Amino acid sequence: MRLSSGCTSGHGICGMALLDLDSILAVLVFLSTAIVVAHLVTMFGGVA
Amino acid sequence: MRPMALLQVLIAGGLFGLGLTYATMIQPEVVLSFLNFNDFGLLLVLGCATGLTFVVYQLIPKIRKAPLFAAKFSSRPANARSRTLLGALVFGVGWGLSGVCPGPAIASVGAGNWPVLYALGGMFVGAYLQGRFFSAK
Repeated sequence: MRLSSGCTSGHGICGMALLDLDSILAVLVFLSTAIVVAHLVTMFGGVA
Repeated sequence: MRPMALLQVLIAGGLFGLGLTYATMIQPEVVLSFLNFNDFGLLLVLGCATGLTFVVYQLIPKIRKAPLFAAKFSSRPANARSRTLLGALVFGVGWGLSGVCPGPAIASVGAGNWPVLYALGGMFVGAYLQGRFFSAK
């Protein structure tokens, strides 16, 4: 069995448009994780 | 796949790629700029895409009894919430590092952005490793 079963398109567009709770939670998790990681990369002199 | 269904998939994929490219989401720099709070344009892209899809999902089943190329409307299969959220966490780390997510990555290849092939290769390796070693039966 796979893990996330959806990405920015799958959960972000299709899942959230279906008001699927799991998709909304998944978007909150991957969006906040990505924001933290991107900020960390920039903070430590990354290319972003 | 039947020819008409194949044509439908091609048209849908083409529209999606065109939209992602026009919305600049196929450029990892734009995504990273969004994640760093420098440019909130992608919030508008996500908002419009999700909003329009929501309206379509609400309206179409009221207008039509069945999809064009399937017997009936059905929702996607559900997964255990813990697995979904664990996957979302891992995906978020990769997205935050690279600014690349699956749909835009494939469209980006079409636009001639070759470095994104490294990220796509990584996705194949990650998915293989997950299936090989971390997939609960």
